[in-house]
Amino acid sequence: MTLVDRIVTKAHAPFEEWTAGKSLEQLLAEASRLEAFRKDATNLYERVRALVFLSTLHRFSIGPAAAEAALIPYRAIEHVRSRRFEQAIAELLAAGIASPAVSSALAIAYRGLAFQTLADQVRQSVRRFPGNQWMFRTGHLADYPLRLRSELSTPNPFPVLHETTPVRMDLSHSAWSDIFFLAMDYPEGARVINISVDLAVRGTGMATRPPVEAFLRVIDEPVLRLVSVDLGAAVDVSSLEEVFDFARDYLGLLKAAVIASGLLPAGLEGSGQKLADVLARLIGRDGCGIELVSQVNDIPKGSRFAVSTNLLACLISLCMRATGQIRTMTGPLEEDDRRQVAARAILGEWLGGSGGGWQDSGGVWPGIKLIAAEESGAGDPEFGVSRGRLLPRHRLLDEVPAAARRRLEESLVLVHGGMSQDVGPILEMCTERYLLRSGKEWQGRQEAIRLLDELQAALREGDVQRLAALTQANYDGPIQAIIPWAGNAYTEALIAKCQSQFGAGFWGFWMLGGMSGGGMGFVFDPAVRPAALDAMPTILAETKRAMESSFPFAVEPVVYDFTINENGTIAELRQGREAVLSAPYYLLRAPGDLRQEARLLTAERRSELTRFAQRYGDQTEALFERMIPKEAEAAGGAGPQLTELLAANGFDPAAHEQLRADYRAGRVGLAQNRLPANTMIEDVRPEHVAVVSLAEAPAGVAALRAGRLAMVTMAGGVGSRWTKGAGVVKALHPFHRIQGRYWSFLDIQREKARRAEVPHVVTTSYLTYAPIAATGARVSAGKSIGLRMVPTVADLRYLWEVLPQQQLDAQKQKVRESGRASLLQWVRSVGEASDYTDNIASQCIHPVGHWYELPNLLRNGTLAGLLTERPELDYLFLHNIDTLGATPAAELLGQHIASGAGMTVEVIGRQYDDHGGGLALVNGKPRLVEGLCLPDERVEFGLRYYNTGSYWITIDALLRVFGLTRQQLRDEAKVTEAVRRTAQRMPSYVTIKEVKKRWGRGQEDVFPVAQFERLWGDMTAIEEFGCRYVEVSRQRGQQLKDVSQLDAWVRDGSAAAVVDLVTGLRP
Amino acid sequence: MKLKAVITAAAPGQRHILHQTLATPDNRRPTMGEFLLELLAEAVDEIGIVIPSGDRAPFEALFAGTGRRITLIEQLEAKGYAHAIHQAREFVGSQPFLHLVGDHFYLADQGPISALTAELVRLHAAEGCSVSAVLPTREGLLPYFGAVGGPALGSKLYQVETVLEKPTPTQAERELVAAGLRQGHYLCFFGIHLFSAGLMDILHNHMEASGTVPSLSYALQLLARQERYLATVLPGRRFDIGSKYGLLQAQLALGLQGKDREEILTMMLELTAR
Repeated sequence: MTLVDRIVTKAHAPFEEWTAGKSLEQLLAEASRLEAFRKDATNLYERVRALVFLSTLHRFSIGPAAAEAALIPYRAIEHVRSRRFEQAIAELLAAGIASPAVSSALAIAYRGLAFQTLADQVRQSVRRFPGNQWMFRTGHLADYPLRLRSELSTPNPFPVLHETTPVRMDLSHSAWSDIFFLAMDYPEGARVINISVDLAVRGTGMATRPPVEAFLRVIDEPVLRLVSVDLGAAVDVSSLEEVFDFARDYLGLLKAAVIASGLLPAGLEGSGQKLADVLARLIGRDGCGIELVSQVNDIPKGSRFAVSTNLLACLISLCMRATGQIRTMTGPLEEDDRRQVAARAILGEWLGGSGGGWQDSGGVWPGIKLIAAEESGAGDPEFGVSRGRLLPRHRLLDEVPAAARRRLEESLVLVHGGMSQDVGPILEMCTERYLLRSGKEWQGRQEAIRLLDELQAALREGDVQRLAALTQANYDGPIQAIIPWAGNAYTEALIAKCQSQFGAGFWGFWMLGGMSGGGMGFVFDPAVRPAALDAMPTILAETKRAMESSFPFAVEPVVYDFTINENGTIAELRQGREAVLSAPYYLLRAPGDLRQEARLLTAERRSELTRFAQRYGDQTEALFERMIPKEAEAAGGAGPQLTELLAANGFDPAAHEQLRADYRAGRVGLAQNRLPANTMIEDVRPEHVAVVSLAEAPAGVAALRAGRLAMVTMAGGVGSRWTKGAGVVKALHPFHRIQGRYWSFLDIQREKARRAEVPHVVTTSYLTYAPIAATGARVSAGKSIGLRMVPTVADLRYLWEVLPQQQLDAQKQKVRESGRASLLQWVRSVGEASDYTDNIASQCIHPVGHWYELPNLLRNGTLAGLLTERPELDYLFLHNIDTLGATPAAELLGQHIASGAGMTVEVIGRQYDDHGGGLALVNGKPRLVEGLCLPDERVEFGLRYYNTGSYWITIDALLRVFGLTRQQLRDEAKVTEAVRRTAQRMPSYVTIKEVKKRWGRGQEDVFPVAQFERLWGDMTAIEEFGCRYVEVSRQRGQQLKDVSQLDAWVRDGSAAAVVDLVTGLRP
Repeated sequence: MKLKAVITAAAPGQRHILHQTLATPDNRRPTMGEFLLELLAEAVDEIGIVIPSGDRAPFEALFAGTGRRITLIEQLEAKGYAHAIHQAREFVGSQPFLHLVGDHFYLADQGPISALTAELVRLHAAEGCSVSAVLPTREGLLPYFGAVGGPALGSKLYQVETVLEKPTPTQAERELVAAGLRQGHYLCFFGIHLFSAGLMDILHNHMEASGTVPSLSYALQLLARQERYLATVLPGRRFDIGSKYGLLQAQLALGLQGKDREEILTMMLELTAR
């Protein structure tokens, strides 16, 4: 059976089984068949499945088997960047050549097209959902069809419509079956049990209440006033353009709700209409506006309760009630209206550039419900396109008795573990594996479906102990079989502690949402639960403390009190003296009013302040507190801690000021990183790159036995791409489970060194020194530090507008561009090239590039120490912490020794994802060039070899470059001078990195910052060093920079190879 | 058999509308009341006009000399549209009746406007049930009209299944789907209906049972459930005189339809150019 047959017959057979044992010719022939099929296929899911098959074939089968050396045509890269996937595929196939590089690009293009097709289909279904369509047609004031309910537009005072909504926790999502793509293709497998809950953070003395609420009222100013109480943000929007500008401020979610609710329908974007006119038509009064207020009650981000989706749904429901789109203005919703709100919430998430699964708006419904996908039928917009409908059907599980509900409340301990992670990559991996019907994962999916039935039965019977055993089995089994990264070492540690502390009284773990680490459930015997509730804060805090340098924690862990909410979303109308908002709202807004003279306030504001004083008299003290400026807050930012850190790490203020002056004057900058225009850059020729041969292996083995090699692992960085700027020690991140235990990058590197019996040094920076030293590894301390600066507008524009960028999906791109405009505004307001100090100290400073990591060995005496211990030491194997396949291999060491080179650089054949320079002939001489100093990207993709960051170094040759001898290594002054002198021969690059700033309850902002770095690859330009190059396998040379690479790393066999290395199955 | 007709003109904002004059191409200045009588023409022999309490004299003056049998029915309390219709219960008895809203002005696409009513009467005679005239209306105007939804029985004929008063487009998309209309257009009431006596019974029974007056759309929704109820698209236009610039629009449409079209266009151009 061909792959095309499998698609047509909807066979559930693992993709991998088909490819096993196929020749390159057979694979290519099948790829051609699939390509022809997907072009003609009318069924969306057949097309998408063919695309995913093609992507996987090229990535894991054709690419590795192809022998041709053809490079990727640059036009194809440009097409992919601009999301013109069809053109990219055509360009790549036109050459008719199968090479690893071309296949890597085809894999990306096919995958991109598959996900784009799916996203387009969901978007189209949301737009075509009955009740949503009109919003895209309303493009003129004359067409604007909504009117505010008359009850709301009567002044003195204007009434307040108030909506509260619970959040949802899922008992099981049947292995992420609520992802739209999955549910629309496999409706019979898409089921979720989801419970609406009220929460309170334990220890605050508050009773449980719906975690999200929103208020709407008319105001006597012709603006749209958006207020987020929990984010402390408020804005008076006076133009439609601003409404559609999502990332301009923290109010993107409220804007998405205003649009998705139809209050300001999507069709008005770019219509040139005046917001005040639309508001006047809506309210039926000139000079009036709407205030929309959101409030999340103390729930940190990353809670896995779908807080933002339910807040969006709450806001949408409120706006729809106010405009009569929902029949009932107050009370709970009717089923039709709940469905409409859920469909609008999906639309809102798309507008805001985010999105989860269809179960997320579960808080709109009351109590415990089974949500199941439905097959599409005639009359549905999805009919003939997908097997399932966009929206599932919610059935309230009334058969679950009250006693069972109570027992659940008495057994479950809900917590927020403190981690806030992006679940997006997991959802994509899940979709891909589903489409491939990969063996283990498909079995896992079936198992998850079976477990849901059992969970339902346990719920019905009120058997919470059984229920807990099932949620634990779900987590241990199908969830981690499909996506191993849904679990993590932190969660495992918490489970282990609960087991050891409470024994049989701990009934099981309950993963909430898409992954663990944030919101989680631990189920206990009701007799034990009170003790568990008391113990849990300590268990969480201690475990977090032990792991905080290796995991991206966003908040302090908390334990919640919770109750099941049997109302779903519900609204009330506050009129007359009761027409007030919440106390936290006034604590945010009233100080501003009170600072003004009373005569400057509108009559409504004055009367409202009176009502506030009457209603919330007990808040006077808190209000007073708010109005007094706080000295500590006024100082802001990193403060004295930063000064100390800079002083302790040898920061050079004079050099920093010089750099700032150069940067401000435009003498250095991203554009100035480039090599002079008259530089000749060409691809190397075959004679410049050696191939790995076993001929010199015996010499390598002898050298290893003689103790002539040490392994040096560079671990000074914080993996900005790995955690998106969260500032954790990447080396210590336990990212992969091997034989039941989580291994960190460092664990793997240390184990390889131990097995090879070579001394191992880990180079660190101020950020990574202490946590890595605490593991017992031999560390080399960082000696250099830089202070980050606010980038210049010119550099940001260069980065975003001149340098090539991967375009995002249209709406996400829009949100990104809006965010970038705000960042430019931020740069202008804080000052270009000013010191970046408005963050915790460790996020304000940076290691000054990995060039320094090896010289630091010289400066801090580590190399001298090694040489004293092992005078026979002649060579260093230097590599990055994330080059997991790198080993002190005898054949490579032997080749290096035989070549007599000062340094041998390991390179790999370039594939699509390999950006950032490579091996080139620069003015006729081979050397490594960094991507940022190439005149344009076209040149980079003309270079067939990519740098792996692994180097074999002859110590004496290195010392010669520095003008030192082994004996002089003990002379600190001489070494310092030598390093300084050599550093001056190295170019210093401006790079722009992203840093996270955390605030509030787990909120994060990402800022671009400028830093100056010197990079080790430039050592290859020093002629007297004598560098040579050797091509190694991809498995050996690839680096793991991004979490999204993990899936492919496992699937292409690299992970298994690493497991073999550290478990001794491979030498 | 000739029918009776009921015109509602009792709403607080409507009391002067029937007295409003409009200029015609022959330079007559008939009132809105006269236009409505012209619309009814030969189809009815007796007309009941529901007027505000205490307004009898001006209405008597308005219709004096028309030669039509007119009964003025005072609505003693302003309790809404459905209540106003219900005031004519005795007047219509147990017979079907034509109903016109008093604040609309109508134009036929071709021929006399009485052809519009005649078509409704013909359909009623053929189908033996209530028939409402409807006009496909773009969704931006939904806040001004009642609207119906249901399956199409012919190119201009629909079976009414759902009736909503001033629906939002969200409700309309969900509940008022009708085949053959342009996207974003719904069947909104034209302002002329031919109701069976069943409607009066529904209104009466509801008021007796609950003591409250239902909305007319609610009553029509019940009517659609209890008996066959059709809607038809008539070849004409309607203008809501009560809405902002509704009168101006009606006057312009009337003028542009006659021999002075060029003159009016020139006039408008001059006004625009200033």
